[in-house]
Amino acid sequence: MIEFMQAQPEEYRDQVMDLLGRGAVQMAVMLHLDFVTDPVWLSNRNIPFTDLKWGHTWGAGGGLLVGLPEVSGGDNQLAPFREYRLGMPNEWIDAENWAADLVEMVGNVGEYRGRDSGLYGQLFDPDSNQPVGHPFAFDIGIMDRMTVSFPRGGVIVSLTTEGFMARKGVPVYGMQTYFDQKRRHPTDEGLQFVTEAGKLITWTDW
Amino acid sequence: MATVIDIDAGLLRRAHENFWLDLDDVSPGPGLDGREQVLFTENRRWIGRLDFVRMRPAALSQAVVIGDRLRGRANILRITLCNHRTARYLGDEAAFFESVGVPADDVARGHILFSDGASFDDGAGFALPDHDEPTVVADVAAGASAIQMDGYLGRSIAVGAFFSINDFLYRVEFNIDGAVTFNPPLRQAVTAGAQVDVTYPKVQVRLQDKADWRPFCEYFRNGPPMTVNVIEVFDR
Repeated sequence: MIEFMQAQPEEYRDQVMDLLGRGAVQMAVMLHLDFVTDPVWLSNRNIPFTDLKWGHTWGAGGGLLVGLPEVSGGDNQLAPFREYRLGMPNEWIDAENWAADLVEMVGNVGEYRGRDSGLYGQLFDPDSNQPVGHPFAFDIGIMDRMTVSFPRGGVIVSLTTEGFMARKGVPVYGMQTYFDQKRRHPTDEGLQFVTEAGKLITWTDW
Repeated sequence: MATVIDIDAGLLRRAHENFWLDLDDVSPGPGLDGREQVLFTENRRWIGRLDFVRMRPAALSQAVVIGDRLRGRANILRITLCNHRTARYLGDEAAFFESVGVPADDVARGHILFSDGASFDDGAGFALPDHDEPTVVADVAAGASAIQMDGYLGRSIAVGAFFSINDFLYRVEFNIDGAVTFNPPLRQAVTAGAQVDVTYPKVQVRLQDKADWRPFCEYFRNGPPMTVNVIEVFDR
């Protein structure tokens, strides 16, 4: 909590503290996807607002953001991938060849791969409906893969993002085999009989 | 964009025009001390239940045609609401003056006198209330929940009455001579001079579920009154 408050500008700290302690807290969840031609600033409010930090207008997005990933983290966690589910861009609703357009959008990797994404929260004053303090980040990362599938009567666009520390601690040659282990640690004979054992290796935790 | 289909007010029986604000909120559940913290955000939207009952034959065929044009949930319905809680002008001037309490004598005279019957020095009184739809006085940004209206219908709009701007529906929370506080907050910025619909407030809605489309198509077969659930549309 202390670090959380330190990130807020000093003049808002008391107010933010007060808002967080109330029985009902007005909070928006926002998603920024930095596409090359058309970056989006979305929120789960149906009325746009302008944040006090960057001055971006976070719009409703017309249902573009459909599903949020489960955000987890902490010690002993690899930084996992996040998968967002996106709806269809609004202007395509009555386009004849929207399916082809979607496939083209997914194929155009230069538009999104390696570009910023961020999931934020923002507190609001419940009386004035105005933002209080700066947005706070839940997850920051870069966009990686986009896939589209067409189940009957629908369409699902999934966008995978990864943190800057994604798969931190996973060795480049990630197999727990004798040869990989020798490559990492030439004198280590610990995995010599792995193939014969045919079991998942679980390291003891003394 | 989707086609907007106007739905004739004659199709809907007035008593059944229910519109209310729905929202989503989340809570991790009550704590061990029984207290609970609720997280909410501004995502209120209008939800409606439209009952189609006792339709005239012409209205029946219209309902079926509307069903065909709706194409499931693809297209949008524009509903005109009955705003009987507030003063409105339905086309008959005499009825309007009577409904807002202007005595027939004053109407005949063309102006309203002071309560003790006195007039201004030149014999004139106050102008009769105008019945034009009100307008917005100054530019207002999206997200605001207060607006200044001009025109008799706007300045005297009743608490709890509906009004709409560009087919976005709002309900009056408070009114001091046209300075109106309302819910939900403005969906879209409005500019000075924009018309406010008070007599016939309108709202654009989409069917909530594909199941709500069936009644339009099956009305003739089923016969009994049908209920359709709708949800507000934000595209313009």
